[in-house]
Amino acid sequence: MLNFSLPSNSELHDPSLRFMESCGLPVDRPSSRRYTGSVAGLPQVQVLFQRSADIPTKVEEGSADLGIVGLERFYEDRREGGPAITLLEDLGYGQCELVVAVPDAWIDVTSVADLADLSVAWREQGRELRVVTKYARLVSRFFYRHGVNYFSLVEAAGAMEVAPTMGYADVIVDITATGVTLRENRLKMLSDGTLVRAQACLIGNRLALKEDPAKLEATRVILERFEARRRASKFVSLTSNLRGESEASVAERVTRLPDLAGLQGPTVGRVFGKGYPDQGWYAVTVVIPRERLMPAVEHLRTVGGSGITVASPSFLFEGECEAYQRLLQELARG
Amino acid sequence: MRRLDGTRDRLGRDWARLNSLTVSLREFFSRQGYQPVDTPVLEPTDLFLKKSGGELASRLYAFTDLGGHGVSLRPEFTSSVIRAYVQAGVSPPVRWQYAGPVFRYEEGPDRPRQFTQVGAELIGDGSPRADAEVVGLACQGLAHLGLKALRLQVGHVGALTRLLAGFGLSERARWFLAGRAATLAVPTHRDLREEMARVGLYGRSAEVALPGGVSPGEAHHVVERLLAGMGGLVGSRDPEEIVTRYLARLEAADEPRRVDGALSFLEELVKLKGEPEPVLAGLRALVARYRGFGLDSGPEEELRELVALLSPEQVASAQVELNMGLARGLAYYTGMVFDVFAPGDGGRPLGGGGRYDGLVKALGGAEDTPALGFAYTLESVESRTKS
Repeated sequence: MLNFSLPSNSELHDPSLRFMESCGLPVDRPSSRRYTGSVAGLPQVQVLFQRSADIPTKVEEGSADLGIVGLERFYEDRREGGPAITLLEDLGYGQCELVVAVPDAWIDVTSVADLADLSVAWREQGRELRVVTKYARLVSRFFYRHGVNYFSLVEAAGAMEVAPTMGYADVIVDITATGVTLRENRLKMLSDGTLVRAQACLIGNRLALKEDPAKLEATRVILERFEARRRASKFVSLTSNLRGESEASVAERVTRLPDLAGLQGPTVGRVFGKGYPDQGWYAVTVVIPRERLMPAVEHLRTVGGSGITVASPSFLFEGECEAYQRLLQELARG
Repeated sequence: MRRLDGTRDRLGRDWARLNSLTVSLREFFSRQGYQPVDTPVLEPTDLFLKKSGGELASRLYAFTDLGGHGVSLRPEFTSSVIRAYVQAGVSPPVRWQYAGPVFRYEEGPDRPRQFTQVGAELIGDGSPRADAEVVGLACQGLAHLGLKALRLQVGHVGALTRLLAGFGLSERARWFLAGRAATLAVPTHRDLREEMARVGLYGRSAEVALPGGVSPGEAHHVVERLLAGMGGLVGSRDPEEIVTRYLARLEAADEPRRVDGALSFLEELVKLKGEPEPVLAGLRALVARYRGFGLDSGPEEELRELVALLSPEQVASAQVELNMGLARGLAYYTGMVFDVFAPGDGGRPLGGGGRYDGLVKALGGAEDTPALGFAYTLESVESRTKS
């Protein structure tokens, strides 16, 4: 049985269930008071609903084999050289940044370097820069690397944004998606004060996956779906009718702009027109990056295309699952 | 359970070998008049931050104990020994020696995070004779273990630190450059600028400038009014401090021109390396050119006197070189600094040390007390004594 931890609280709970469903792996949770669930079609997987903050530790200690968690949480909690590793770093939801924020009237502090200067000046006066955060390790590393060497960490309890107003901390380091909460509490971000840009990620215990082929196989199925789903979200499929003399001549026109002509090249097929005999119509299908949609439509029009339909693929499978291959390499490293 | 990365178990002969080196060195130091002392492995974190340039802070094994005290495993002995000296209230001069594990967090699982230092400190003597005594002890100790054809590099951080102050660089920039001067000896000058830019010490300019003809008093008044008008959050700070620092920042203490000037001097300084006579002559010429920046002939004269005292007998026939780029990672050094290398070994020194005349006072001593010392990294010594 593969134990798969999903966030039970936090902002990641609902999006994680939606993501699983969109991957064709809907999670069945009999009741909101039950802390286990199952995945349709994967009887060898048991879902455990756990607090986000606990998931890295559960995966680390092996009571969970896989888990979905914010990347910043994983970076904070993982043990260097430990068994927990990331299998996919971008599940495409739960985007946020871990940022340094200071009171907005600190006009003399706009960058981390200014904070470093201030901490040195305060140290001379016997004062300490007090930093409130739930990410003690990430903060210490980031500050040391940027020359802020004198600070003390204040334990976080509840809403940290009020700490500077209430006077028990000077600086906060927390995650934010939009910055609104910071601004409403009269805090500002530093220009270069982003520690991590994070989103939901899939982590796993490498020892557990290495020792148990059944767990590894269940993981492969999940990785296949996740990766193909993620890849598919970046592409659209366009189908257009084009008049021409032959498949080859149509293909030649479409491939004049190679980067708009599909992953490998266009698929060209005869269209048997309703008014037989044949009018020389062909259907062309290309798969292109989503952000290139309008240039691709324009290109197809330019070479005579019409009746262009656009579809979003649900999955895009490559010859092999890259994330799974990476995992195998990781496991082979001993 | 497995032991932590960067640590090691010592069993049987492995233990005996390191122990016999320790015993042998300590007996030798005793015969030279250095009394054994011991200090706690655990100390207040502040002790190590007091005079560190900040760099060390990032490598401390520091934590808050159950009583709420900020404590650290010692990353070196000198701060502890000087604290013990101040706390005991003994009268100088004292000659002390110590041995034990020190701890520094290093990135990467293969780097040692615990290693053994054996060292000595001479507190209360500021003479070149004391410099020669300690440098000599470091060489003789290794010779006593049978290590021959040692190489001794001697430098002086005085030239470096005085000049950096003379360039008007901020304290943070001075610490930074003092800690990195040695890297200038290899042609990575540009990297140093990049690294300085990363920590905001280079290429940072103020977003706005004060209009010409505004007196400092007027500027202060205007900014103060603006700040009050913003109605923003000042937190625990005094608005006065914010305004003062804001205006000071407009002057951009570490403007690139000053940093460039300091870096070109440093580049010339670190080239001064090799046989004592030519290096001393080069240093004299360099100091003459930079006299306007607060440099004096003190470091050169101190080194000249020291070199004269370093007879072959004194340094156990080690080959003596001067290296003006030698700057030790710890920011408390004020004068002569040195490293001892095994023969033909360009890599890590077996030991090193120097003079730190400000440390006694910084750690609470009543008066300025000259002091100096050195420590071996025993594991490095061990690897060279294996036959």
